[in-house]
Amino acid sequence: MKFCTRCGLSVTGSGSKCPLCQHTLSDDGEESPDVFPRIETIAHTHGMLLRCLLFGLISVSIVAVMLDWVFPDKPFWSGFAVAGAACVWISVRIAITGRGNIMKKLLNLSILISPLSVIWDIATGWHRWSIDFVLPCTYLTVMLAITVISRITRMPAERYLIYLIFLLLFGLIPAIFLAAEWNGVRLPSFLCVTCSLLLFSAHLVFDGPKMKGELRRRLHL
Amino acid sequence: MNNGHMAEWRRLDNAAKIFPSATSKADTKVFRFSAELNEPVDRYLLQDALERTLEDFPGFCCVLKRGLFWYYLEESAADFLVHEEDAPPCGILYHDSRSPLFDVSYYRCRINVELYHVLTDGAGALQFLKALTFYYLRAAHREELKHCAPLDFDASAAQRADDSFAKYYTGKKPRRSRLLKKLPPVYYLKGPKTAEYHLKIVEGMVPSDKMLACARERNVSVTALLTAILMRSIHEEMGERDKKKIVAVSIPVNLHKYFPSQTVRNFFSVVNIGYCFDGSSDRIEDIAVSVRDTLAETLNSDYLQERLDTLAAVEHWMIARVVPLFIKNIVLKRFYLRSEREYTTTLSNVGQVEMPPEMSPYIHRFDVFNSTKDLQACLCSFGNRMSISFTSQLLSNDIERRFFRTLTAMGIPVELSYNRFEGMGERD
Repeated sequence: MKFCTRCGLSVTGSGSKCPLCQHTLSDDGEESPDVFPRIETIAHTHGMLLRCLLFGLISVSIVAVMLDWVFPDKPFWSGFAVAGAACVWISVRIAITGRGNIMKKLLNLSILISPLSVIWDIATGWHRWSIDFVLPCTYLTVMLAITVISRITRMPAERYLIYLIFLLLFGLIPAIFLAAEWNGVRLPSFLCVTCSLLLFSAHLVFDGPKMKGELRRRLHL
Repeated sequence: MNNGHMAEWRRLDNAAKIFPSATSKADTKVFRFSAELNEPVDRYLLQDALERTLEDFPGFCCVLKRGLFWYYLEESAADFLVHEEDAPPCGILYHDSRSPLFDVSYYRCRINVELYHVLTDGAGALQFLKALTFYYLRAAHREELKHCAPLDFDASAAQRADDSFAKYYTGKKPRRSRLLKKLPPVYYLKGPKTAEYHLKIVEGMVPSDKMLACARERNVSVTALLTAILMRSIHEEMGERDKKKIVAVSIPVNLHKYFPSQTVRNFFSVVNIGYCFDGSSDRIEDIAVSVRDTLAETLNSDYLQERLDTLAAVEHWMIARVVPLFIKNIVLKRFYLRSEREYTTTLSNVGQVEMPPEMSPYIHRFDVFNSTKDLQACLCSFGNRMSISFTSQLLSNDIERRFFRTLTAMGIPVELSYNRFEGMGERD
């Protein structure tokens, strides 16, 4: 046991100074082990790869804007470079948040891709590739992916059902494009809507109470 | 389509509703209860004891999930493993919807239970640690303790899973006067802080009988006396310009004492005790008497019922309920930060821990630590040993030094323990 003569109290542990006044402790030689483990502070080095990516994207944007400025003969192309870099960054951020909850990531990515692809399409002359291919194909792929992953990993319903319900609702969006006759190519949208309706009815028939239960807990007031 | 039942779920209780919004790395809302045994802890026995304990506390095996309007707790089938203590105390537990909300670790002779405040409060956590220690000791000393009577919770599983805030909410419109009155400016602790929000622990162990005698001599309770000493320690560290501000100590109140509830979920309230040193005496005795009187005024069923009704009324307000969760998070966080501006520090007295007498020779002490953004004190006693533990993110130990020196000057012997980690300044 050690003793601090200034504070007038005994101190346990292997330290040689009083934690309160930093005065050197007098020691009677009796060993007293530390009550708490000594924790080494881990310097946070993770995130280095992300930082490199962020710096790379910023560099590309700066160089593009500067080149555009120096050689102004072409139309304003650096705007696209900067927007592209921003899209890459947002997508990567979304993909890594959620700490391994793959269903949530898939949902977030499909939520993100929809407006981004439409904006890019409009900005590049509205060739309708976003609503013809990107949106229906994304929703179709993700809803099938969630179904397959949940089946293979035997995931309990409460871990994936809410994300699937969202995706199935998104899967009905291409029906609006079809009804409004906006599409150039109609097949992917047809496939997406059909698949969404089929999966929806399948879940309603086989998993109706679970869907109701999941919605009740997620929407409780 | 998977077969089987869906996991059970339950709503958060009134107090728990604010914690997820208020949680951050800086303020984790995690607290730790420890039992120090007189022998080294065996990992495998502790794991068995934990599994046995969780049978008594099924509500603790859950995860926190987000709904559109509120968070909720959902039963989890994950395995909960004990491990050797390897992180600073009261680190963040809630990361995402799969994080377990409690953690059991051991180091040498200590069993540590860390819990997220959404699950339970100090009273529930203490029951959990007592059960864990009980099952551990009974397995470790099978022969010696075979006649030891089991812990009696004297409550059904439903009573223990009860939301007592909802049960005792009367729906009466609270009077606005007392609870929402404007407070004089309160002093806040400031100063350089530890790296990465690590919590620093300084814990003093004092003999309960001497502490009690000291309080009785002054005709006050131990809580009032220690609150007074803490207030004066803070006052002595205040700058001259701040001396007009009041020092307010927030004291959590276990509502089980005032309402006949058996729940192991949150059921507590807080009272803030303020003292203005400007123009008043700074003698411990006078501060303690003022603290005692304020406590007597506020610690009664009427006041606590009024407070419970006020807080529960917000939750029952329909417009507040239909606001989406992400907006609620912002509002609740602001609300919480505002409530934090009403006090300087917190002192939480868990009280006397009772264990079966046959087990006493195997237990050295119990202690409690709470996460905090600045400084917090927790008291807990077992047998004749009272632990007064300070957790703090402030690098300076001046308040703790003044506090313990006051105790030693009163003739109370103090045995100090503390944790050490890199980046906490010259403490070694």
